[in-house]
Amino acid sequence: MTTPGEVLLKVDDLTVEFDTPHGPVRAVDGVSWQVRAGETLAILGESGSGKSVSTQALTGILEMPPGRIVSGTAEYRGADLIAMTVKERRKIVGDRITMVFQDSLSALNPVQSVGTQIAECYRVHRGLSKKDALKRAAEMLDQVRIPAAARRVRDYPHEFSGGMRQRVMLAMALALDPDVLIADEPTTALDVTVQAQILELIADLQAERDMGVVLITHDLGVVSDVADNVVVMYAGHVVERASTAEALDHPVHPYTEGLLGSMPSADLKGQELPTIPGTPPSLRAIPSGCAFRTRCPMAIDECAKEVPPLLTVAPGRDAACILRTSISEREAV
Amino acid sequence: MIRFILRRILAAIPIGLIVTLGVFALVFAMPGDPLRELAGDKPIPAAVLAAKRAQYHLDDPFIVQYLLSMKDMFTGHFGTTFAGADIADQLRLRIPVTLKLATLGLVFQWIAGLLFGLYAGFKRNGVMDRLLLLATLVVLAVPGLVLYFTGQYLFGVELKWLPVSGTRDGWPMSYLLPAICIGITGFAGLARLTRTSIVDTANSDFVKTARAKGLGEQRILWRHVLPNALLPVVTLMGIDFAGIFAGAVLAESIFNLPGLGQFMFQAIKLKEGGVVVLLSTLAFLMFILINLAVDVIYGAIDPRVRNV
Amino acid sequence: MSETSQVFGAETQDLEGRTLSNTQLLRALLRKPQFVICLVLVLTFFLMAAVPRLFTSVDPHFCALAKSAHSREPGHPFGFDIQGCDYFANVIYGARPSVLVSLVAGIGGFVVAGILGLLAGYFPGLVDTAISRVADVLFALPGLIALIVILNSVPNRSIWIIVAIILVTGWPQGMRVMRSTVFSVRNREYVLAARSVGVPPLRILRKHVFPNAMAPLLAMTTLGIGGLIGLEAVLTFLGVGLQPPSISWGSQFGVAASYRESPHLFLWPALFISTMTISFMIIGDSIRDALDPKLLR
Repeated sequence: MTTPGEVLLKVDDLTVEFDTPHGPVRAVDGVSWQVRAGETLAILGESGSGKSVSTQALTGILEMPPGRIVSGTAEYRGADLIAMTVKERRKIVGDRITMVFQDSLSALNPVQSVGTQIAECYRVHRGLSKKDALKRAAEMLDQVRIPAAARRVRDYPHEFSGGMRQRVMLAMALALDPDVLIADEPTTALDVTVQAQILELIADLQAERDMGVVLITHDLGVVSDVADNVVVMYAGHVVERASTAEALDHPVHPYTEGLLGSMPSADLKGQELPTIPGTPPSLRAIPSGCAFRTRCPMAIDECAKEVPPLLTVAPGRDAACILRTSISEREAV
Repeated sequence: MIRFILRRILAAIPIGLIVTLGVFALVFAMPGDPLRELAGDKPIPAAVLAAKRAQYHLDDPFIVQYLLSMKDMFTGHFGTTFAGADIADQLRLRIPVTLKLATLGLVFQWIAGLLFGLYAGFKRNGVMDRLLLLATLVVLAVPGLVLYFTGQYLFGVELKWLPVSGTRDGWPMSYLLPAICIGITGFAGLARLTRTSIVDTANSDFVKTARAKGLGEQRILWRHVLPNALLPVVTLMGIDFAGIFAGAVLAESIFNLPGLGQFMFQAIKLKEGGVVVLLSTLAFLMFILINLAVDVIYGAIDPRVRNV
Repeated sequence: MSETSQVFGAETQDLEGRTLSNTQLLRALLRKPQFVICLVLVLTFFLMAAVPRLFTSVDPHFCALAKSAHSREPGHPFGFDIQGCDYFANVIYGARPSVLVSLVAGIGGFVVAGILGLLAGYFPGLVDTAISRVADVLFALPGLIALIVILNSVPNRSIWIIVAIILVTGWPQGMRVMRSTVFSVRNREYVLAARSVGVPPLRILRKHVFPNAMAPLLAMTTLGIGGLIGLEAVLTFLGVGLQPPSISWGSQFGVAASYRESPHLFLWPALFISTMTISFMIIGDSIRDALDPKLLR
């Protein structure tokens, strides 16, 4: 069991590359973050920013090759998942650290009943008998508030609605009372109302278990609703790290600022919604220096020189922008 | 399930009617008088000719011929061939020959196709995988006819490992060579499909989920990848099964095996309308049954198509 | 033979109607050496079929019985056939039926299956039902048996009749492939957009649906052409194809089958027909790879 506030998963300087016919492509570059018991950490970024790749790499489910971990550690309670053998890692991933994916229809095995798939966790990691495992699976379905769970345990994934199927995914991920849940865009494919229900369910179950949650999303709204802390990623780099409240109120990095600015809100009614100009860079052609500079409204020549380091601007607040971090450092002095 | 089967059988009835009627029309639209052709230059006594004409309902209007033939067929009165052989006896002799050939050919084809396909799929991009892809391309490209002849010449005539033709050496020696040839022509497609299917399935999201559940690779392979990857393979195996009787026509005529395919072929040559229709109907029934079996098996392994 | 096309049907079904511009496609293909080699081979066979005199000056019907089944000698590299005719000339002249059947039945099959598949996929209801039911009937007999039964009822079989009958019995499979891709394309935004601004249906089919739905059928056709070459030979060998005076690889196999002591009678047509089919297959495979959206990235 976890003690409150304990650091459960600590990722440090993780770099992942993909081998492509056009040479290696760096999808994740020097990413660090950590999640504590009871905490919800959101990793925010557009598609291609490397947010999913980082978690898939540390849990070992990334296809390697073509993927390759260049450097970095990912410590689960002090044990480095990346340095471990596959066998050792399997005792943690799937048991203490579990995952939920975006598209529940394709993420569940279509020819196995949901009960069998949930029961498989108990069978493999706990060695329960088939009968006991199925009984526990039904209990789990009940816990994620699927009506008539005892009967539905025999149903197949395609027989559930999108929201119910995502609950099944959750039941499977939470079956073994994990310490860390990594939810990769768990609500993206769902209707807004169902989305809220699922997020609420995750929050409730998290509170019951004092579990750490890593929530990967591109939706700032989701972040503001449920996350305690947020890590903003752009083109494989962490550009800002802060508590959710601070990041939303006083974004430091221009990218975070741009994201916030392009959120529709009541204040902006009647005005044209501001957007970040341009499109995210292809990982094959990331601009030199700061990857965001080509879209940044306040970019200066210095930005092209080197990749801005992630610097602490205030306690618990880091950002990677030479303009903002150096200015605030100067102000701090 | 029973309703599903009944519905399929009901749907097959009109198709069966059209198919048999079509074959019957084609056969009887064939040029020439079947009886005269059979007799060749020899004069036939008028009385014999008349008897034969009556037996085959040759003097009735077309549609009556058809209905009478159908009635005879379904009541088991197959009659005799023009040459006087009892058709029921012929079937009794020939069905086992074709069945033995088809079964053995299928066994070779399925075992080779699945083994190679599974191996290549599991060890994709390895040396064996590449070799296999090349080999299957060549096998698919070389026409069946060439393959059968080459096999016959190489293993029968030159190396003398197996009988060249006929059934003198009995089961299973006489059947080995033609069955191996059928197996070789058929296995390549199955192997390629199996491989493609495994590779595709191994990249699907639920395999990622299984990995995230901390399952071992073996378990992932056998419990998650294979059951899904084999779905299209089962369909192809069914198609192969249904098609093997057409392939038997070729194999039986090259290797001179007295089976149904050869019977069919001779019947067409001799304009034995009744026999052609009978054998076509048999082929059709077989086809429907096999497809039904494939659908039932498919329903058993893929929950998504149940209750449809 | 029909089995192989079944496989490719299944293998190519997941191809999306991704459009790759024709020049892009051609450039990608010409970069592959195996494609270029096979293209040259196939073109050589086409030339052989069109103008056999370019390859041999010997009349294939000029025979000297005394030389029956003799093996090769200077000026006659493939030896002589049973009638004592020059076998090289005969094999060269034998290319024509195979090339004709493969090309005409291949292209014709593409057109017929494509049009019927388009109609069935785009007009559900009566049109789809009618086309699909006819396909069911044609599908209900194993292909070779249907061909044999039909061909045998035709008295004077020319190459065109054989092609026509292969077309009549062979379209359902391609139609099904086309129909299913059209199903997936017909409700895409660009089709809906065209429909909403009142573009007439036939123009939508021609300009929007067909170009985006043809890739799987095209791949299946190119891969299936190899099988068609063999099909002509099988039919002729079984005696329901071309009739005696015409020269074809199939009839040469038929003769070779009864004269096993002269393997050269079998060897040469077998070599030619296999080279041609393999070339077609590799071309088809290259096109399929080039069209495969998974490899586009």
